Amino acid sequence: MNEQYVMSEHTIVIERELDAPRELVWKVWTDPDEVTKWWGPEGFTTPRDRIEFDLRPGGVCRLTMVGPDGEEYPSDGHFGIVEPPERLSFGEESTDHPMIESGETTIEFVELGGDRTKVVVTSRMVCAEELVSMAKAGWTSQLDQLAALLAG
Amino acid sequence: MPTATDHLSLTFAALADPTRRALLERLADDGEVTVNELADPFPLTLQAISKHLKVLERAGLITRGRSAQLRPARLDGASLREAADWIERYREVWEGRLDRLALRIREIQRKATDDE
Repeated sequence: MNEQYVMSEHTIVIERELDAPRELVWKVWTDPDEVTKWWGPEGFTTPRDRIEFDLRPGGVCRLTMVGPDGEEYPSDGHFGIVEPPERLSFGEESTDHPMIESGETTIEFVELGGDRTKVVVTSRMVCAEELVSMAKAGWTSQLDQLAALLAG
Repeated sequence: MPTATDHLSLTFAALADPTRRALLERLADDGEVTVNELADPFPLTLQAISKHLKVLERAGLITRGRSAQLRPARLDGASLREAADWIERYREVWEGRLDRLALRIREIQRKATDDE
C-alpha cells in the first residue's frame, strides 16, 4: 500500500447467542469435520479435504471456499490465540478480498449460564480513521450506512 | 492488486484529508461549484484547491465539468456506496455463517437427544 494513504484499522463486531454449552460451540468451530458443514458462506461450500487446521498458536489455518460457479477462494493464514474453549484468533493472509489481506479475526466464546454461549466475532479491517468519524457526524446517507456498519 | 481494491484505497485516502472533506461537504450542499467558488472560504491558493480536487476526482468522489477554466466539480456518491457496500457484504457473510453454525449445533443436539 502506498504511504500516502492514511489508513488505520477498524473492527467489525458480530455477536450471536447460541443455545449450547461452550465446549460444544468450540468443537464445532475448530473441528474440520464440523467446519465443512457450516463455514460456507451462503451458496459456497468449504470441502473437508480443503480444510487444514493445526490448532495451536502459529499453526496453519488454511481453507478454500468454493463459489456457486466453482471459483475457488483460498484463505491461507495462521492461528494466533488458541485458548480452548474461550478464545481463538486467526489471521487471514489472503482472502477473497485483498483489503482484508492482513485482517485478523478473533472469536470469543462467552459462557452465559444455563448452557448458553455467546459468540463474539471481532474482525479487523483497514480503512481511514477519518472516514468513520465523518460518517458518524452524519454527512450523507451513504456514510451513515457505513458508520452503522463499522459501529456494529 | 485488483482494481477494485485500488479504487477503495483511493477513496479512503481521499477522504482522510480534512480540507477535502470540507470540499465534499460544500459540494454535497451546493451541487455544482467552480474552483473559484470552492476556494473562497479556504485560506488556500487556487492551485492548492485544484490539487485537492484532483485527488477527489481520481478517487471517483467527484466529477469535473469541461467548461474551460472553471471546471465545476460535482459530488459522485458511487465511490462511497462501494465502500459501504463492501462492508455490508462482509458483515452479511459473517451473519450467514453464524446462522449456519447455529443450525449445525441444533442438529448435533437433536441427534444427541434422539440417541438417548
